[in-house]
This record gives sequence, structure tokens and C-alpha cells, in this order.
Amino acid sequence: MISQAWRRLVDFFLYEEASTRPAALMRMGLVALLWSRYASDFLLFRNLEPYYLLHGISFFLATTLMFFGAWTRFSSIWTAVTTVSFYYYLGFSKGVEPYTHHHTYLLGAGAVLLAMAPCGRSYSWDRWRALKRAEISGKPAPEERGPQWAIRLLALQLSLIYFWTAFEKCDPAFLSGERMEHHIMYLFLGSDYPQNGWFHPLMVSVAWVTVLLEFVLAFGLWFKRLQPWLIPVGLVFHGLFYVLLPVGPFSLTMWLFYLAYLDPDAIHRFLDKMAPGPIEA
Amino acid sequence: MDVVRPVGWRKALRLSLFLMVAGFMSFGPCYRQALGGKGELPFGLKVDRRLFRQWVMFSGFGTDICDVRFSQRTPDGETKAVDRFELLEHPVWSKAPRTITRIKSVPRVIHLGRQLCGVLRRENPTPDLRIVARCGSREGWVEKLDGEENICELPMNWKYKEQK
Repeated sequence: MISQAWRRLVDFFLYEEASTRPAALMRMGLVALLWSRYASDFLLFRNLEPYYLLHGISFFLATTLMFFGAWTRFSSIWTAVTTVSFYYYLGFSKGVEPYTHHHTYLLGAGAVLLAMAPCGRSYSWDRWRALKRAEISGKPAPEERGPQWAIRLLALQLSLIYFWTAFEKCDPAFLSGERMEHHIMYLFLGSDYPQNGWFHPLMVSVAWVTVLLEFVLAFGLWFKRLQPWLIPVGLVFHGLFYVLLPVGPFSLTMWLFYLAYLDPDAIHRFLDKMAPGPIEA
Repeated sequence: MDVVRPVGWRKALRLSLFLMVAGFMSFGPCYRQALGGKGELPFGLKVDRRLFRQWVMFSGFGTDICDVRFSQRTPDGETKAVDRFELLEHPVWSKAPRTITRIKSVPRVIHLGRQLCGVLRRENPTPDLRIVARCGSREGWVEKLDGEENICELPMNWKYKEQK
């Protein structure tokens, strides 16, 4: 019984193969997020230092190829190397502090993990070429399927984020609501603590709900039965973060990577259902 | 979903990559947050701990805010709240400068207090202005000024000393 469960777990994480469409959607979405974060910083006239120019050229070439799914394995590895270099080399070695933030790490981690996933087998120029080859040789079209282990790692990365951010908040300053009061006063109310009875209890409740929700999301998003409940809650949670705190592209990155928790074949079927039929001439 | 188990070197490669990446992702926060790692690994190995990511988002954000109350003591011993916005001629809160709405530190609180004293002196040459203030920190609110001293009487070279 235990060995069967262990085997299922190993198969789930390491050996399952499924539709590559979710990985392809994440590939394109990630490039859009990377551009929203970095592109304006690397316009070629911004900084003419050779190392900076090199990063900029590398970024634009790699991400463009990755977005269109051209030589995707190569271009996604190139993108991953570039974004990791932004984080470690530019961020820590060259002292570009904003590149050391959590959202830039997540963008880099996403690029690394997608580089290990078959994200070019759907919605890509590579796919189009594969279909052409099949058509010419009279063979059936290649299936849009591939190993999912790197996508599972992406989901694991999200769960680790939820778990450890919740862990960090398990201290008296946060659970007493005081840290939440700092955030709200710093961003909205200023130095006048509301002189009413509800502000403090509200902040205590928000603090506890945040911590509990993060722990629940860390584990619950893996379970199919809980996903219809937890995914909307998680989406709203990150949406609120976006409008209430200066989180940058972190919220949208989390939204995008929620695809990693979902059954890829279910997404594939859903997309088939949503796609219109052939256009009548 | 199908299960396809690779064999030989492919299996070894996938397993190694999976374990390495999962290990790296898990080790960072565990080492830095749970174990308080400072970069000194076993066998005398030293690493830059920033190599490993910790997930402590916004842990220091918003701490530079003080909760401040100004009050004035009248000669007959009564205490009444002082509206700094009105006295400094910024009656509309949303239009007031951020330096008045959001007071970030004790020196800034004192500076604002002295400005208020200047305004109060127009009506009363010896005003008595008290300030109760606490400021944010990673550990929560920290009491800074308890309102025991009349800010308007403090010499101009007086500086707030952080309590240890």
C-alpha cells in the first residue's frame, strides 16, 4: 500500500507525460512578463557599458525567439541564463538592487524551469515546422505531449513560496496585526492611527487570514478537488496584493504559474472546446 | 496522463536534475529562515548566503512610519488635541504634503513639533506642546515619545536619543 502510494508519487513528479499546451502558454506569458519588467531597462541606448549592452542584446534576442517558439529548447535555455545573470550578476555583483527582489528571482526560476520543460511543442514555430515536415512525409502530426517533471517543479516552487512566506509571518509582530497596521498606515493613512474600535481587530484578522491562507495554498493547490475553490481565492489574493502593495509583476507571475498545478490534459481539452471550428469560406 | 519511465542515462539525468533543482529551491529558505544560516556550511565551507533565496517578502516594508499624536496643555491644566494639518495651513488631508501626513522618524516628529510650536507662539508666547509617538519596526510598534516633555521648551540643539 505504502509502496504503491510512493510509486504513484514518483510517477506524478517524475514520469508523467501530458499535453504541452499549458507549458506553451506559460512560455509566452513569461516572456510578456519579462519584457514588462526588464525591457525598458535594457533599451540599447540606456547604458553603453559592454556588459550591460551584452545583457540587453542577449535578453531581446533570446526572449523574442522564445516567445515565438523558435528553436525553443535553445532559446529558452538562453533566456534562462540571461535572467539568472540579471539576478545574480547584475543584482548582486553589480549592485542593481531592484534585480535582487523576490519577483525577479521568480521570473528567473520560471525561465529555468520552462527551459527544462517541453514548452515549444505547442503554439510555436517549432510546432509549425514539425507539422510541415509531417505533411510532406505523409506521417501523422506529432502529438503535443511531453514530460511534466519540470512543470511539477514549478508548482513546487510556488508552494515553497507560500509555505515560507507564511512561516516568516508566524511571529508576534505580524500575528498581533501590528505589521499589517504599518503597511496600511505607511501606504494609505499616514501617521494618524484610526481612533475607532475596528481598525486593530480588522488588522489582526487580516494578518491571521493571510497566514492561514498561505499555508492552505501551499498544500491545497496540489489537490484537484480543492483547486476549484482555492484557485479563485489565490487569484483574488494576488490581485489584492497588486493593487494594495508595490509588488511589481509578482502577482501576474503567480497567476500565470497557477497553470502548473492544473491537469495539462484538462487544459488541452478546455482549449479544444473553446477554439472555434474551421472558418467556412 | 500517461506514465513514461525513461531508462538508462536519461532516467539518471532526469532524476539528478529533479533532485538538484528541488533541493536548491527547498534548501534556500530552509537554511536561511529556519536555521538562520549565515553562509558558514559544514567542513569550513563559506558561501555567500545570498546565493540561496529566502522568502521574506515585505518583512521590512512599511516600518518607517510613526503613529503620532500632538496635544497642547492649556494654563488651566486641560489637554486638547492639536490638529497639525489645520495649524500648518493644510486643512485638506489628501492635499497636504506627504512629509506632514506620513511622519517617518522621531527626528521628523520633533521637527514637525517645533514647527507647530512656532505657530502656537503667535497666540501664546509659552506654549506647551506634548507629543506621544511610537514608530514601526520589524518587531511591531516601539514607543518613542511619551508626552512627558514640552517640546516647545526643549533647547534647539536637543536631539532625540534612541533608548537601548
